[in-house]
Amino acid sequence: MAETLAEVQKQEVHGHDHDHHDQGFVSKYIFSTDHKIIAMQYLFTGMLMGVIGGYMAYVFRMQLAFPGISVPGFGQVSPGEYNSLITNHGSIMIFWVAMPVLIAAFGNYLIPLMIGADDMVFPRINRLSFQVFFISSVVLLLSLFVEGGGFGGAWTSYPPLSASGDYNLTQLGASLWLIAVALEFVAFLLGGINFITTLMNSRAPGMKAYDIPMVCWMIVIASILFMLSVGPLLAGAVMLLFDQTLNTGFYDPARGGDPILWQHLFWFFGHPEVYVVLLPAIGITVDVMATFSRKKLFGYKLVLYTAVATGVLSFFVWAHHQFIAGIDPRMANVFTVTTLLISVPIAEMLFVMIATLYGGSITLTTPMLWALAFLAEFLIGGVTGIFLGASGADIYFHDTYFVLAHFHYTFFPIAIIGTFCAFTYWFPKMFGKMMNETLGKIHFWGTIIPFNFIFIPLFVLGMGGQHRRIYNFEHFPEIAGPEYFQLRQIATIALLIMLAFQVVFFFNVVMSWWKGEKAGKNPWKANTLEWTTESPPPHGNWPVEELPTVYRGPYEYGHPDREEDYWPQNLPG
Amino acid sequence: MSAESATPLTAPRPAKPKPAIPSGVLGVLIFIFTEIMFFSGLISAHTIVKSQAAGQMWPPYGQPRLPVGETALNSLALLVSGIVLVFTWFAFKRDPERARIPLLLSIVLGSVFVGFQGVEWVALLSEGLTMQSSAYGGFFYLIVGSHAIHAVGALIALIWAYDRSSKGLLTSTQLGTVSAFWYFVVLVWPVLYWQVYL
Amino acid sequence: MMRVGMSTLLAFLALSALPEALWACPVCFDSSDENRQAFLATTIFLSILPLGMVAGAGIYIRKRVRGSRKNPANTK
Repeated sequence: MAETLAEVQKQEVHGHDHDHHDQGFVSKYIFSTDHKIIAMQYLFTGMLMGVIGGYMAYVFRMQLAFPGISVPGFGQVSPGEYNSLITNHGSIMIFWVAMPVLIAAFGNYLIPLMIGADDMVFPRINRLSFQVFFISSVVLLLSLFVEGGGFGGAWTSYPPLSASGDYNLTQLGASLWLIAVALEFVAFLLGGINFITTLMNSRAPGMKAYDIPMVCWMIVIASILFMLSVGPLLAGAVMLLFDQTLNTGFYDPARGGDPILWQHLFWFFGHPEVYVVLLPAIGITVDVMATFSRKKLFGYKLVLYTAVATGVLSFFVWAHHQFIAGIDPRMANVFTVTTLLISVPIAEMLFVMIATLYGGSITLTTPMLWALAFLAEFLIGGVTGIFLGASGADIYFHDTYFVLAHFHYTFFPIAIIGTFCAFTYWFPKMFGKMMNETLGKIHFWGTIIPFNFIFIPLFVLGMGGQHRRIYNFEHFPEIAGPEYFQLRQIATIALLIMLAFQVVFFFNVVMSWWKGEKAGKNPWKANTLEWTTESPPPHGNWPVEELPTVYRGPYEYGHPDREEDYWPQNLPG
Repeated sequence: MSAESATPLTAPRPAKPKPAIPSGVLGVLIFIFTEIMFFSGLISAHTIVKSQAAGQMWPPYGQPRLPVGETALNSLALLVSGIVLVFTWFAFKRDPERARIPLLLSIVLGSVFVGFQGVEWVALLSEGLTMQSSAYGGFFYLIVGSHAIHAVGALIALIWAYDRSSKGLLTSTQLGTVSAFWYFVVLVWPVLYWQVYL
Repeated sequence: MMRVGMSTLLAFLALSALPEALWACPVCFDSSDENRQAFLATTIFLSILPLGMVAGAGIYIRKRVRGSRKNPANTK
């Protein structure tokens, strides 16, 4: 299976070249095995899901700030609908936006191009991966419209609430939601096998372990983390599905089961999952920062080993989600220590970013702005995590808006800022056109400023003791005062502004794709291999006889012996 | 490639290194790691639920006992099947033709195992052990059933390999890939037997 | 350096075991001690296992790569 494409292509080049261009629209864009097309499929599906997730946020934020109003574009929000909206907002943003875009889309697009391979090792498994993912998205969207409405038991779906239709009132919606999540995991399992195997086995000649661009390493380390942590959750999901559909009693204490068990299985996956999406985002930002500060990445090996250390530690922190779930406090002590410990490697990576920027000749292009924003915003998310990691403080903060604001300060930089950073940086390679810088910067500021206005008020609300899962705060007099409502309204209005500015982004994409100036092979003067081929790359990425050879690391910027300030990896000598 | 043509080739073009593990085998290996974690999840869940019943009877009152002895014999068939597959690998290395008979033997032994498990299930169901009857029954069918699904899948892969080898098309990577998965099915079973039956 | 780390670890373990009885906590000594131990055991098992597997695979691949560099004819 491996490396067959090169052979096939060789035959095509010598034998029947005309076959190459005969593919119809369907086989070229829908059932393609080309990693670039699959990446685009993931990217656009993920973005579409992102729009849906954003719409959900808009609806429930309106309900929170102005309880009981008829939300334009949705109507009155009932308690059941509210629960379903927050549940599916969370699931969509993590499983159908962050993972497909950061790992699947950019992993698929970048790994073969950056390591000089013609395609993934298993192209057909890759196609199957997207197909399963697509089905999972359809199932998820379908679950919103079945009888009883979509599942409303939060994205963590704790039993017994999630285990029985008698409790959650969404028998079918809950099962479909669970099936969708399980299918999505299967899709990423297939994708993960591809990423790891491709990075191991199809690197260009001369590319040693320390010549691999950091973003590829990060995506692969994330995939390994995912592969190792998802098994127990799949086991738990099967048990939960049986509880829902076959009326078994795995999580039912009345019948000998244990509801806490699900929390263990879920968070055993759930916490590594955070690092699964974080590492690719860090990889993207360090790559972009090195390019636009025209400096070698500070401490390549340090970053790599730190990422591995993060991966190792990420298996020992998960019980910090359960500090108040009745786990043994001695165990909570251990998990507090590991949780605080894991902020060390993460902080180290942020310091590496700063050290890379230090003394560089920085160009503030749109991707660079996004990368810098990642650093600034993720810092806030990381620092507030310290409070929650300490089991003592967590007893107070648990399930308040403080937690919510904290993880949005981590996930938003990861999933949204990281995605925009990667998208604006590799857009010229993907579509062969430059993006409009002015529009890009308008979109950047229009996203970053409102983002802080959404979540800083929520920190304050959380410290005021406002609980996370409340449908209508007017029912709770002690947290329904005008000062609280003003903060909620600030957050909601900021969200509206942020969503409005996304129109600029889509306009920019369409206009740049249609009329943007041609990008050429290497518009950013970057070193990595993807910039040595055409934009967009042809089928097979490089003509067979020009498949690149690697002579040095990916971050040789500003080398004293060279006239140009960059030194592409494929140049000999 | 303008930059490449501008500078003359001075350094020799490094050769592409052979992969340490063939891609097919590596892919299956990663998949097996995930599967090991899946079964670990099931076993952990089983251990926790079992420990909750401490002090009470396990299996719970009124539930049938599992056929420990018969299953031990049956497990032997599975283990022998795995050992035969090891011989298949060495036979294949010497002469692919000679690998066919041990491969077939391995498939037959594996099928005996799966078939006997099926018979056992029917008996247990008639004795009143169902997924709904207790957490005990639930875990029994869940864990053993997941293993059975994997066994059937691996058997289909082995049969596919046999079909390839009878046409003379089987490559060593393909055999390695398929056997790696069967070894996983064989080796995870004793652990499950120990946890569920004993 | 090693000895400092070792003694810190020992001190930590001793301190975490010592005041056990003094902790006024309702979930430390719950009715089923076996259940608590099962949670602890499976937690350790599930956390160590993936790292062990990856470390094993990593060491094996390293060995293979080293071996094939030394005598390239030996590997297929």
